[in-house]
Amino acid sequence: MNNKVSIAIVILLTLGVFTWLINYGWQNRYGSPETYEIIASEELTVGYYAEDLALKETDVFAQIWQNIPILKIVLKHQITERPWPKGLTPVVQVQAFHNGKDIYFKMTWEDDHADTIALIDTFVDGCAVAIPMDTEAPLRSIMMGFSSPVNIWQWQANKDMQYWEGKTGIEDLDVDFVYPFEEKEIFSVTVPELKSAVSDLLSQRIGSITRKDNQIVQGRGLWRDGSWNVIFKRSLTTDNQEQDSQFSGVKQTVSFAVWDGDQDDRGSRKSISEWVNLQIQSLPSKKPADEQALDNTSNIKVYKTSWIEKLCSFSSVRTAYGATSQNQSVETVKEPRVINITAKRFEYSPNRISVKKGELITFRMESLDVTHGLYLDGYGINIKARPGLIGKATFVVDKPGRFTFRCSETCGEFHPYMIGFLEVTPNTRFNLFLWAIGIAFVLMLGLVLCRNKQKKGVETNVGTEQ
Amino acid sequence: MSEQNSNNQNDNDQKMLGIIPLNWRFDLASIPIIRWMLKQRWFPMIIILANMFLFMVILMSGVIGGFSSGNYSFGVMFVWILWWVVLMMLLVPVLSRTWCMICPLPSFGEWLQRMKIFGVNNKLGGLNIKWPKKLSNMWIMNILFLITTFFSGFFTVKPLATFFLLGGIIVLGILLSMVFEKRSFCLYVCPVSGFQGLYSNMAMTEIRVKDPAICAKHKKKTCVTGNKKGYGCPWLLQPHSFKRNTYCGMCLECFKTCPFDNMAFNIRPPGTDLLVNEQRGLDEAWKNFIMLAIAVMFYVAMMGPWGTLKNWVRGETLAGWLKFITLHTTFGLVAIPGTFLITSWVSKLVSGAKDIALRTVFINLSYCLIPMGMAAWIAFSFGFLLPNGSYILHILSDPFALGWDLFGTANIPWTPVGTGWLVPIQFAVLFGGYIISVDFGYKLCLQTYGDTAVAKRGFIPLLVLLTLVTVAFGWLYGG
Repeated sequence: MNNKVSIAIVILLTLGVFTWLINYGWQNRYGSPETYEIIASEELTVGYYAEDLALKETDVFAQIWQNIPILKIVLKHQITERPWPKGLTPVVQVQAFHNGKDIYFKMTWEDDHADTIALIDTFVDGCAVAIPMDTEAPLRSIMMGFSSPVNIWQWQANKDMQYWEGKTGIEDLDVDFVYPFEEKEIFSVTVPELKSAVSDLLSQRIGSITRKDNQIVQGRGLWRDGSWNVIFKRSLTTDNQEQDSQFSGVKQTVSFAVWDGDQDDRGSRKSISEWVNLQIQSLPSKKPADEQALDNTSNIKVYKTSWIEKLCSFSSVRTAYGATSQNQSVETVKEPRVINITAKRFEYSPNRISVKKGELITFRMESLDVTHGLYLDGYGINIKARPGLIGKATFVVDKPGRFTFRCSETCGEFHPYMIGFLEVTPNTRFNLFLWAIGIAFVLMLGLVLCRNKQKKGVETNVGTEQ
Repeated sequence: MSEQNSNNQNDNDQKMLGIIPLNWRFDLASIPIIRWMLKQRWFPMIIILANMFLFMVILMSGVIGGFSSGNYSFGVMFVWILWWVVLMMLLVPVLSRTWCMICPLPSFGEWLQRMKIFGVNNKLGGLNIKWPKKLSNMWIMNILFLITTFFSGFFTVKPLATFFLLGGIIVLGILLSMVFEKRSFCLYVCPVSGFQGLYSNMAMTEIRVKDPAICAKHKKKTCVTGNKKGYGCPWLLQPHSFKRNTYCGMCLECFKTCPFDNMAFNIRPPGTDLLVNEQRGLDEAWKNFIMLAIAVMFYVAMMGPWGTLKNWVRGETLAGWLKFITLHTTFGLVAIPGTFLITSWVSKLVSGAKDIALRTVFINLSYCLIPMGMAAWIAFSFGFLLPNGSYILHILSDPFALGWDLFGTANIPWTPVGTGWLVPIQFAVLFGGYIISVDFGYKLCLQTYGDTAVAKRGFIPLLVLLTLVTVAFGWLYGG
């Protein structure tokens, strides 16, 4: 073959493979979103309709839903969870109404495949509604990971199939549930009796999810034409205010989550929404004055110290005090100087903090977007602030110099470079450096100036040029 | 003849910091097993192949990794934390261009030229066109390296961007090796090559001839033309008259082709090549300035606390990114060279040397910035390594972020090591760089101005500049 033709083939082949690989990487990219914006809370109207749904299959597409406005809610990755999600369910459509007795939610989202069987490495589709128990809970929050307790209604496709159709979806597994020689299962061994397709849960933060004793939420889902349609039903109010969320006011906040089994979503790995404000219409049991009072409380945006924050702060303080021996004696000293730090990707504010050596200070950090950490070089202090959860550490700055504090929780692609400076004055280390340079300068100058005159000549590299 | 002897006498007194004789050498190849190894065809190819496997993993992790956070990407962490740090802290300062010796990136192109991996085939394929003479300098490398740093907010954090950079270098290497002769790509284009060449002048190793007289008598010059045992210098150099490390890729072919075993792999005091007045030029001077500028900009953008600048660098908005490029380019190509030009002009002025061109002063004295620049980079690299080094343990066990745990280290949490000592370490490194820079600055003044008294006067502005630059870096790193 002609040499030039061979070269042309090699060049084209090289460029082709490279372009294909770049394209493949681009098409299959995943990870943190390019930009993260705090989305203003949307409002979902919960209108009054004198309609009672028994959650039959037809109720999922009942005429009532045609009359209720749809709110399209943009979802995002639950990015505090590693490994990072492969895919994202970008939008969920939500509708809600109440009939004076029960409240209904309907969630609809596109999913090209219904994942209804849970196996090892095979996960099911699902969705959830989360309602804060505390109306003063910070609005900026990530579902299931904030300071205030939350009531979660989680619907899962496998449980739906089991509850409504009596199927596990895995025929082979039936033998596990049936004793030998029995024709029918008469005693459930491994599968608890389901009272609903929806799990009624309580959670306070990551790792604290708890199944409630009284399961009072009902739900039903149907996958049709490439979309899941799931409805939830529960009474507006209950007697158990400790464990059940209440819809007694005109306003309440909720958030939504969707799990796509195809994309290996499970547990905390899911697509989530920001908080959505509920506008509950015509509550007959409430007087206007009460409504106004509730309206004010639900709009509170300034974070108030709650008992849980105090608890968290206490543990952080203990950790921080434990960091240096000198710190132990200062618990009785006057109030610390509180330094409020806000963290957002990939910046602290203030980003340069100056304190005097010996001061007792408290770092109080709030995250404006995702979970951030603050690790202080030299002091070994590490605090963490999830959205809505303040991170605190109190300590004595007993080491002079400039110290870097850096994010200790993976928060996005520039995470390793999320940095701030704490300057503990006097900065003796830098002053020492300046002195060393100054002395070297004087010495060098003196040595050169006092050097005896030499003969004219050219300095060369004798090692290589001799 | 007597003047020559006198000069030699002066030269023999030449010592680094007045302590270490600059003409001290120890030939590692004088150890028989090392010489034997250096002469084998499988060396360093066997290391290149191992390295190639590693880079394949890096490239794969880049393609698969997409936009996932860089600190959990094998490619990003390996290249920008481990490789870069090792390159700046160990390979270049100690082992010169050893990285070029084992670099797998241009190997595909070289194999296509040779159509052999281990064997020798001096009839090289490709078009074998000579590289244009006007471009036979560092300017392309300077510009390419600067342009590469425009994208540092992507390359250093996004796996796919890291793949694009490394893959792009491989592709460019293949394309150019199909068109131009031998390692023209490495010599004149590779963005990683330029600063290695410049900073390897500081290195503590070199490849040189043992006895120039033997080479002078050897008519065939097989180190240039090649023979059955090896290729003529792939880097288009003349190994028989090497004087400095800048352009030697340490491929070891000259060890294989020399019939007289006249090549040496020397250990030497650092920085001796700074005084070699050969092939100096504005291209190398500007490489110096660009490296200093990048050290500053990288620190400010990545290790500094200024979020706005980080947003510019990572291209959150096009306008911000363009601001970063403008600032960065102006700083590297204009501000720093401008400051140095003023210093050179003042140096020439106070020296009283009228017969020496300002251009000569400017170029010659710029070489004293090499120790300073290297110190700045080493100090910067500590700032990478100590806080982020523990990520390496994670990515070793889970290179493709698929949840693997190959070596049981996948779940080791991020653990900053010794960061309390980071600033003092950086100060110590900067101080060391300052002392060496000043020492070579004076020697370069002597070399440039010739007369000691003139050199003393000319040295003072340089000393002031070096001091101010060191203080500025000190302030940046810990002030």
